[in-house]
Amino acid sequence: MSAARYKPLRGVSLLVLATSVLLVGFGPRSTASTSSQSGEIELMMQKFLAAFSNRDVEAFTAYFAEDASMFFPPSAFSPPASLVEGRTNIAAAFRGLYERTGPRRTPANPIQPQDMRVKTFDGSAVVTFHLGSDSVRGRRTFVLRRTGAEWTIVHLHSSTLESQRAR
Amino acid sequence: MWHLLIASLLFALAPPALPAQRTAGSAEAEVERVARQYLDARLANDTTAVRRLLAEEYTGINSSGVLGDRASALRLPMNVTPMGQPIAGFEVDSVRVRVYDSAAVMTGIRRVRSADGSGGGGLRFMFVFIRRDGRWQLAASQATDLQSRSRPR
Repeated sequence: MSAARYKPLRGVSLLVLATSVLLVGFGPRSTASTSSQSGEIELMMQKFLAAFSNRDVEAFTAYFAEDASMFFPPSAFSPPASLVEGRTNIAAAFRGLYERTGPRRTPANPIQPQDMRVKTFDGSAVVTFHLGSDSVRGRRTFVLRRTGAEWTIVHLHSSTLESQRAR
Repeated sequence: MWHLLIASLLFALAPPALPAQRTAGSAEAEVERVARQYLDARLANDTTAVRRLLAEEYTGINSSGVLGDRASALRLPMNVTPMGQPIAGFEVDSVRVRVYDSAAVMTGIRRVRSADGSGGGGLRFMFVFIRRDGRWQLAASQATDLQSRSRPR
């Protein structure tokens, strides 16, 4: 191949390479801004908590990832003491818990998260809030992961305390 | 020419931010190592190391249910329980680590060893790490006493 024929081809190659770099840099990573992600997450949490308030196990466990894990809060109703792994097992644990705790929570008594904080990272998020009053306080931390257009819960850590003790 | 074109297209189609030759197993081990560094740094009241290991957005809920941030996590002394009892060491078991791209969730049981040699209570804990600038940082944590000191909601 002569130098005269090679030069234009090298120019085309550089153009393709530059285009490729742009595609890698701006294509798949172009996601929603942090504020709109927080909005998406808050909306998702509202739906989750509405289903949770109604004890609709099928509806609220749909927000958990297949490989999610969860720590239940220690309580008199003997929830699983160890880490529960997998959406199916989490659903089974909730069904067992609700069988022991009695009637369904009415929609008139929905869960009211307080001081909800959402922190978004690159494709993941942490949501924390508390429940109850100063005398009985529940703390919840959700770890979320963005998969496609959806946010799913990959871990939930729950704790409940009778009273807060300052550090 | 065609070699360059094909190489460029392959490069373009590659997923972004792919961890360089990193397997899930080694990432999990790395997360565990960073968690150990964090606990050791707290035991040693090593503010510099803890500052490096905590993300700016860090949120923590301790076993007393108190919500804290990076500033409160850096407050000395760091080697005490929420009740102010000195901690001599931690024993960690039942560890599970799941890595999701640039985030990782570590769960386990942490038993506190008191300075007087007595064994403290166990805690279920959760650490959330995020990967930034090629290193893992602690972004969130929560700990709960294994023993119930609560009444059901």
